[in-house]
Amino acid sequence: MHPLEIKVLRSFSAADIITVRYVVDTLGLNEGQANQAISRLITREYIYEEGKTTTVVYECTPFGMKYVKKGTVESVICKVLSKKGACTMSTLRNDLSFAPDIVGAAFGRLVKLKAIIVDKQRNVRLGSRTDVAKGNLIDKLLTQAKTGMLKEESLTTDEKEIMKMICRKRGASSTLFRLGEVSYTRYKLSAEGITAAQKLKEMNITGEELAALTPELLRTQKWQGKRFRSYDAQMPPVRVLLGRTNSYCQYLRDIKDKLTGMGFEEFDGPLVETEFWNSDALFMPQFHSARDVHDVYSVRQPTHAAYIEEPYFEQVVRAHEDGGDTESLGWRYAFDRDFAKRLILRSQGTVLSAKTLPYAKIPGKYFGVLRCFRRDQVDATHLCDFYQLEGIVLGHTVTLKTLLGLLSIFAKKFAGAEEIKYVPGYFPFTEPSVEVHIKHPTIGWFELGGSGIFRPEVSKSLGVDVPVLAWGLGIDRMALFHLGLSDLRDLFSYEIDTVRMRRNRYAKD
Amino acid sequence: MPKIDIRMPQVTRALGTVSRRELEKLLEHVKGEIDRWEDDVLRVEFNDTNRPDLWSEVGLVRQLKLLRGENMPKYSFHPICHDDKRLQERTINVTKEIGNVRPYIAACVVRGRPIDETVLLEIIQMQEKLSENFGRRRETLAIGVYPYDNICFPISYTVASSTRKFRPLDAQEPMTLDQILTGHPKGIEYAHAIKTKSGYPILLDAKDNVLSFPPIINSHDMGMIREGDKCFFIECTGTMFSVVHLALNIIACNLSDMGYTIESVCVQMSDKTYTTPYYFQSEQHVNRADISRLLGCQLSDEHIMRALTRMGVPAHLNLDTITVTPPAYRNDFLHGVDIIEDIMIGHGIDTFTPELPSELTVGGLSDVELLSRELNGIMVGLGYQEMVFHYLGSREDFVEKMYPRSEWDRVDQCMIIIDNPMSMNFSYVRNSIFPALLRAESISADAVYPHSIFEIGKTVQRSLRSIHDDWEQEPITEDMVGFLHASSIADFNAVHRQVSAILYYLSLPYRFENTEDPRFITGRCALVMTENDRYIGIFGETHPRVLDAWNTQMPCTMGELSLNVLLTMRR
Repeated sequence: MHPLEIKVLRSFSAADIITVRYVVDTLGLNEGQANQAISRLITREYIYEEGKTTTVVYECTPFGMKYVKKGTVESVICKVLSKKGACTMSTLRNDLSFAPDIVGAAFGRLVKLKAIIVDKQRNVRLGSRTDVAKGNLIDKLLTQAKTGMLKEESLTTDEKEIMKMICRKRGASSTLFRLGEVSYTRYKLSAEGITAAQKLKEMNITGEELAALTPELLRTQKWQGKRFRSYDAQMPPVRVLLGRTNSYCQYLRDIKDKLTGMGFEEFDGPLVETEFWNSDALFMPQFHSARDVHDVYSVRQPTHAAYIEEPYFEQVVRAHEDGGDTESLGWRYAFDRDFAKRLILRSQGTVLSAKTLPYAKIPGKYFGVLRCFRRDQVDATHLCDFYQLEGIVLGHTVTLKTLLGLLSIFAKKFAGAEEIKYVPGYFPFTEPSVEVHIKHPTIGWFELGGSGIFRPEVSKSLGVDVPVLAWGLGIDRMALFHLGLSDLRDLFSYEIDTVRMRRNRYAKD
Repeated sequence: MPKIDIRMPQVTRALGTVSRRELEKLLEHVKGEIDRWEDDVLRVEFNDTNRPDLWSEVGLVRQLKLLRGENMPKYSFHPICHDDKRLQERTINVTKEIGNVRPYIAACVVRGRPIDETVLLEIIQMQEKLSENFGRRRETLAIGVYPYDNICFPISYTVASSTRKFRPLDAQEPMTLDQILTGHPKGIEYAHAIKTKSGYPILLDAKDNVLSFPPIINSHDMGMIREGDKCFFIECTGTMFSVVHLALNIIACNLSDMGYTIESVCVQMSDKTYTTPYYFQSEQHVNRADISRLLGCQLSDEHIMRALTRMGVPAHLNLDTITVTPPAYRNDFLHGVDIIEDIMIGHGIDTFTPELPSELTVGGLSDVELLSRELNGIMVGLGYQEMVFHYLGSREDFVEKMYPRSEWDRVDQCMIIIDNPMSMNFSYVRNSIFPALLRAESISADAVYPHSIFEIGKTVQRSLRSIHDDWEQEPITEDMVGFLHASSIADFNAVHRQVSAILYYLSLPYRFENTEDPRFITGRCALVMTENDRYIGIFGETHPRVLDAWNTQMPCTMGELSLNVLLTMRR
């Protein structure tokens, strides 16, 4: 509870009628604070509205404001008279610098109040002291009204009488006060309010507790012997907007960290590739159905690369045509060199595995998390731009068994697999080829990825004469499981709040 | 990937009763998976595009029987006795002109019991899967089947002019070849397979009757098979020698397995004569040492031979070399490693125990990744939320919403545009992260403000052709960080101090320079430059025209820095 609420709650008993004004007056709060405390107490149902009171009020008009400082005509008349003693009407009029009609009106009122007396000789003199005081009351009322409205009920009989004389309902331009009405709501403590107040008293909470520990308090030691306001830990806190990493990116970074921990070096490369690196270098024949114009995005301008690095270009061409030095029969067709230079958006991460071969260390391990592009209709399971995780392992001693071993580590480390199954697979660039299927604790069996040993047509043409294990994992699907999502499009969400609220690990709530 | 339908009774007749589990296991050996199993029909999906022999009921059953230990079948039509009299009568003359159009043809004659509906369906499935998948929608391979008795040999495989007329299947009247290509459903479907305009392939018999217009359609009069036919003629045409001959071999072996007799046909080409079906494959070899090197263990001779037998591959061992003779229906032994894979599968992939790599290698992240992480930490510290966006988008987002109309054509020149987009929504490759950030902002107006978002990702810049270059340089992929802050108090001062902070913590020297860019408010945009005047990036207050185009009612500041330039500064 706010200290203001506490103060209000503790200040009244069950019988009291509480109004804002009353709170202001008794607790020394300003009206805003009083309103705030009351509205909070209503929300808590500690007080309730009992009824409304309507009061007549007087408000000082702008005309009246002009007289607050210099005093009303009435008071000036009294002042002059007390200084000069009795005098004639015309002398008095000459001594005053007001317009005759204003003097006349004031004169009339003073006479009516008996503050001045006009005798038969038209001489003017002051009335009795009490009556003169009445005449001066207008000034007093004006001064009071300067800071707020005057309630009729708070006026004395004399004041009421004077008000009647000088006030018009409509407030003509030359009147000092305007008449109005103001409603006050009356509140009473509810049963809950009474109990709460009782509790506060028992706990000795006064509302005077310190709100905050300030440098000032520390410096002056004024905190000594004071208590601090307590907070309710069970109240739901306000939401915090913080800078955060993206949960999908964080997942990808975790995978990268695990791979570097296993001795893998990261590779990277351009998004726009040649047909050569995207497919030819991977021994996919140029007539292969996966190389259809329907599957790969081609670039409008520029259409072709200027050149492809030798001797790899020539060695790959020969591998396709007759096997070259790779001991392969080759695909036996006329290789189209111009087609190989055509620019496309890379459609598979294996491109970078191939491109790494000419520079790879032996033994060596490499990986990349790579954006790839496919000419696909976008839906929950297909995107036209997405990530692939690809890697290679080169070495004199790597074999099919090493490949299976690596796959089993990936399955356990990356996907929490319970069971692993290896199945013969098919990829144009590996032989033998192996698919790895895993049993996920919640999802059940699914294909984690594909792998194999690079065909000599691939590795030898790119200058590597040791076995090269190559693997690729369905990283986006693994991320979906990890984050508890089911639609690939959610990984690349543009909705700021969706991304801000998503946690790095799927939590059931 | 091809999917084929198998009638389960045929499988059961050949293998006995098999459980689903057992069948799945067997199919793994041929890289097949059960796609659907309804009533008696099993649909199998194949991953291997180099084993078209499996894409039929007969072909698959043959392989499954072999895996179960049955003996390899022998096919008598390889090789052929050349003095067969009937063979000399059955000749196809291939003219020179067809050589530039669709040069290869292979054919055979099939004789046996009258065909019924099931046989017909099986032939149709074979024909379809082979020509659609293996033949790239009939471009490299098309297959025609005809009743044998009507044909008058020798046949001629040649070119015809576009005005040549005949009545195709499913047509009431004779049509010209051009009319077929533009007006017949099959013509429209397969017109892509005809590449040259110099003449269309045609198959004529000795009486000049049109048999077919390969690869489009058969003649109604000469090329309609009916139930009850006992003898028919099958031909394969195409653009690749091995594809055409392999396809015919597969069909011949399949029909032979179905109990039909296969008779050869003589194909007379200008330089050579082939008796088809033609065994064109050559032997393939592999070293024993290479087997152990790849598989990681020493398999005994017996194990190797048994594994290959299970796969249906005849082999013999000579010292340290294993030589295989590919079956007539297979042509996937390009290299010794292809034999090794068959040994692996035949021996059982489960028999190989996983091992860990034994050699030490030192891992590490790329320079770009390391810098990205450093930047990521700074951006998060500045209160920004990391995002990840698509790299493809529309001209509307990347160009039109960002620049005034007068600049669109100029900006297009700097963009990589996709030549064959599937949708206009994904037809441009981004060269800046700004559009993605603004898209996020534009759809997030109801998310609590302020919005601070950033992405570290790739963009592609087109390098413009210089006067001295004949060739435009290849497009450059650039790693960038882009960030946007949207709030009612977003202003230049705020982004100015943030960019200063980023660069301060990267410990790189830089300077700011006022600039004008139509994406930003004039006078509230600055360049970030290296000490030697290289462009690092840009930042400022987003122009209200841009915010308007994105339908955003919140002031935004944004900035972009090139990681690649930052990296070169570090080196």
